Amino acid sequence: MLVDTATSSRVDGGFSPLQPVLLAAEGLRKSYGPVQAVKELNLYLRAGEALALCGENGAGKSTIFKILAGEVVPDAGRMTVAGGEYRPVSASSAVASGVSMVHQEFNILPHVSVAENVFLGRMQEFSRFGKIDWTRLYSAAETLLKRLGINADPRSEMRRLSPSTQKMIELARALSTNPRVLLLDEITASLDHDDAETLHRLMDELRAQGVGIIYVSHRLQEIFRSCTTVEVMKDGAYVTTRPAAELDEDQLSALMVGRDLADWKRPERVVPTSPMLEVRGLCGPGFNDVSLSVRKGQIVALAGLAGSGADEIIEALFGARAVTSGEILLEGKAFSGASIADAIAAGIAMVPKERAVEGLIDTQSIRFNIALACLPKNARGPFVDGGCEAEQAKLGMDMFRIKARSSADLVRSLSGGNKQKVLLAKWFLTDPRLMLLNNPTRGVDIGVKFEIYDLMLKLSGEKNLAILMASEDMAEVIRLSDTVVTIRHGRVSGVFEGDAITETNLINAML
Amino acid sequence: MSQNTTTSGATPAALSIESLRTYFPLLVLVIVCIGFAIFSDQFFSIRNLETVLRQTAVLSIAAMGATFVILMASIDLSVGAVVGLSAVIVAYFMQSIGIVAVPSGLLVGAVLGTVVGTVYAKLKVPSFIATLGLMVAGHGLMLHITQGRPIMIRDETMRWIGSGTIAGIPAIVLIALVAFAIAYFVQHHTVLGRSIVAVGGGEVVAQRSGIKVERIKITTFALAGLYSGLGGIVLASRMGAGSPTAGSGLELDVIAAVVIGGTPLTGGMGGVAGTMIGALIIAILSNGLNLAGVSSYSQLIIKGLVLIAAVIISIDRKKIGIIK
Repeated sequence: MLVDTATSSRVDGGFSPLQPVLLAAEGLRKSYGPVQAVKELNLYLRAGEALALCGENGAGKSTIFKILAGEVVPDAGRMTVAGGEYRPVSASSAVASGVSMVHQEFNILPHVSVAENVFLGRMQEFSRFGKIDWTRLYSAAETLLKRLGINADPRSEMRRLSPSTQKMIELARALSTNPRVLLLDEITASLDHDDAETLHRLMDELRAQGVGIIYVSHRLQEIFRSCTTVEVMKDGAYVTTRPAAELDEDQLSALMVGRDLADWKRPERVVPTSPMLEVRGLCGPGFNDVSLSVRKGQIVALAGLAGSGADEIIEALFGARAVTSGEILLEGKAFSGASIADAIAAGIAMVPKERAVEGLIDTQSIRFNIALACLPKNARGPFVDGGCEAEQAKLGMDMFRIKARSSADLVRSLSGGNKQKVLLAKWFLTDPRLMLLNNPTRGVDIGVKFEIYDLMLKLSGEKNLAILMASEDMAEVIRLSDTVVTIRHGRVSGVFEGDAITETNLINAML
Repeated sequence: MSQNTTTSGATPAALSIESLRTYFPLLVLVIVCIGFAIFSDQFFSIRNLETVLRQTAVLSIAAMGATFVILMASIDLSVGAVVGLSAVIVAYFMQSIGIVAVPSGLLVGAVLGTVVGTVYAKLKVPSFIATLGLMVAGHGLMLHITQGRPIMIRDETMRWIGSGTIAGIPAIVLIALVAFAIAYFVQHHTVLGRSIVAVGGGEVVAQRSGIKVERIKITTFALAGLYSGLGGIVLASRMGAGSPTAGSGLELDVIAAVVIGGTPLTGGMGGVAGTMIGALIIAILSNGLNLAGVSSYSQLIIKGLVLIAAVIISIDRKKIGIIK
């Protein structure tokens, strides 16, 4: 069924059907514990095609990439490259089959030379009896970089390059193996404007040479600039494949969000007028002259592209990041807390973005984690009131409907959605006046997403909780917020309310 | 909905393995005891059990402090040296002021712990290096104070602590039990205990939860020093002297006891109850092997293998990506 739709729509769209299928993946499936990251996905990439893999966070794009690049073995499914069976067991076996990937994260050795980074894992090609022929290595790197139009000295130490150039070196590494299939995961997120141009030019050249490219990016206009085909995924499943020329940005985002989220409507409500948070001219590393306000019971979203400075603003308000100048007022009174403990004592809570690193201790129980932020509240002198902790854990598990046998279950035994609920419970139970949420539904299923939205609305409505949220999920920002503040290069670039909150308005202000 | 059913379907198996791992050290202890009881009829005599418990005392006291350090995902190599220094200093002052010299051992431990903790937390020297330095310097300091000869303890009260009993139970065993009870209470019922586990489980999480991480690190090393100081006092009372080599090599037994007891070197889980069992396993292993007539050379080999085997069986390799 799926195969038919995929092929037919492509032929209908007038895509050179003569080009052979370069990479085919059929019936791919992968689960992590109870979470199905990818369910029954088919994907066909033709020579000279640039296919954009689109979907919201958590749609399964990165799992697909990891499977294609040999880093993750699928539970089921079959793959071929240029007609031959393709069953990679490691990144190097994928490269040997002609599939190379550039990761979203940085994969570099900062303390060795650019040339060694380019030919990482292939140094034996430049050695004789184990001794490296440096002259040959450097000249090979120099030739390659020149050909790709990357401006970097192969002899210089990697860490001396800008992040953008470092990313381009990773691209050079992937291209040095002359791949037939190139996988690019959010590469432009780390690239500056000039390097992004170079990348798109290279993509065009590679396509002309018959290389197939699979491209993931949140920046939709890039997809229309460089990709020929769009494949949309949602919650780990295939949605549709269309020629890029048949779609515009609005249609594509509607496909990505899907009907589910469009159906979810925020109830009409009236927000009280008494102020909770007032920020005036806040400056610090990563943001500049930021002014905004949040009223009691109001949900305000900071919207910006990755790296816009929204994360930093949220962290600064929580005392987790230095502020160089500016004023923060809570209910009209100046707040001058310098530490996180001060912020918590003043009734501020923050749900961080990186759940695993900043949010939860997965070697400990649900109860331990929920009680952690309430530690000062539960303390009787140096001792902890265990009864209070147990009550909080019970309340949190009920309120957020956390699925576990008991509050003694270890956090690491939970699914991603339940972990996120524990994290939210941990901070909501500190009884904050101001809740800072950084991507509160990152990596959770759509069902849990709605539960979280409902809870946010309930708490802001019933408890008059002021919520300031940063989110990279555009649909979430549009549907949940009373007010949206867009952030660009660390500065406020627009404030939108009511009907003015539209995707086009926000994107224009964010870019 | 489907997620719900899969979760409830998958968890019972996970529970049984998870809980088995928790009780694994206890299981080993029982097996080791049964094994030695078969090999030697002296093993389960009252006299021998008393010997075992006496032998466990110093190790278990020092291991209580080390458990907190390892729970915090740091390491303390200076345990042996601080125990030894405490023993030597108590013996040294006892020559002139008698039994009132006892608290000097605790003071030495707490001060050294605070210093090494500050070097670690504030100057950002890895705990491995900071405590390695203290270990080397500490042994040198001991040689200075003793001039290479044991300082004899003649104080009657001190000698009684080392060999006397209360209601049939050796005094040092009672001290070890009280030390354990306090450690257990600190771990489970105090803000400090929660914070130590949080720092070990995820330093950034702890910091983001409002815990003052540096302060916790220093306090934990001070607490560990205090326990080592107490261990030194007990060691001095048992030996009746402050020996220039007292406590040397103890840190390795201590780390083995903590790890066998179920606290991984990566911290964040486990605790003092497991360590108590780990310490008993190590003491019983030496005692039983002695009774069974195994040479002290072979005993070292067996102890090393037991340490590695305990970790192989008790960790869940599926959840570990990169190990260093």
